[in-house]
Amino acid sequence: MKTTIHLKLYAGLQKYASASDDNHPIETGDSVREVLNRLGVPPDKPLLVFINGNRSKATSLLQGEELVKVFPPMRGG
Amino acid sequence: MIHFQVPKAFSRNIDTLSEEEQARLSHSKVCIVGLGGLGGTVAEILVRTGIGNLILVDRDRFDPSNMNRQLVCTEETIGNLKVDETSRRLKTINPDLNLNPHIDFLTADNASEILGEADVVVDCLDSLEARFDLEQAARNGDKPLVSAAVSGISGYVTTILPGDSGLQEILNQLGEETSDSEPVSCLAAIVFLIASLETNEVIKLLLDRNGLLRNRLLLVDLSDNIFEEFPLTDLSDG
Repeated sequence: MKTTIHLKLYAGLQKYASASDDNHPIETGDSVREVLNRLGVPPDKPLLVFINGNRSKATSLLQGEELVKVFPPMRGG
Repeated sequence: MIHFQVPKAFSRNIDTLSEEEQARLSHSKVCIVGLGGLGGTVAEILVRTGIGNLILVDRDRFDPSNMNRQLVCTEETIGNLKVDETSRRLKTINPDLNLNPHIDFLTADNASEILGEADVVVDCLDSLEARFDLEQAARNGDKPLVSAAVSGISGYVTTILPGDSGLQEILNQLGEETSDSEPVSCLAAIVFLIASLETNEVIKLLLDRNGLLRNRLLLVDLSDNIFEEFPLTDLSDG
């Protein structure tokens, strides 16, 4: 079933989509990784994922209406 | 109670810091591991704030590629040891500063000796593997660790107390792509900003102040001037 999420991308991920998309289309049951793959984010890119403010996994499944925030780990010093 | 005469160099700290707090900082010891962009700036701010004792750890020499973001890297210091040049600069700010420099990388074997009597450890490294080693060393030594990292015009800071799950929570889904071999692109603006935030956490720890970024990650993304906190929670059953 088609639905939408609130998607916010940070720290360089904005090149794959607008930084904030309040009506990003998904299919119910999509994983975060599947949503990002469709945007062109490399499938093996490590990601830090927060769904509705809770630390989550890229494999977490979405039902729609969630606030999904994603950024990559960093190591530079 | 022994009266502490605040040196004139730090007189403009007073009001924001009490004289007692300024005295406490002068007796505090901080270990900075990594003297690149973050570490050099953290050291500078700590000394200008009045921290009296620093342990500096790095084995590298300044390279022209450091110039864009590393405070102590200049035409005059290229080719020289970061520990030596950073020590020299810090001594020109506070000649009474007590320095304990280590021309070495921190390893499991030398960590206990290097961290020594540090009150707080600061992670200014640029390698994921070394960050985990440092976190373990700080945990073994029962010392608080302030950790930060940067990339591009983004960065983050967190404070880890012994017993906290710490970096594992931030970096537990890493894949092959996060190879340590590739240099990280980052601009001075984010490096100096994240170093400032990292230093502020150190000062809060030293002064037992509230508001630590414990179990929280402060993400900064300068592309949209974003400052946002994320809770760090256990994913083991997620």
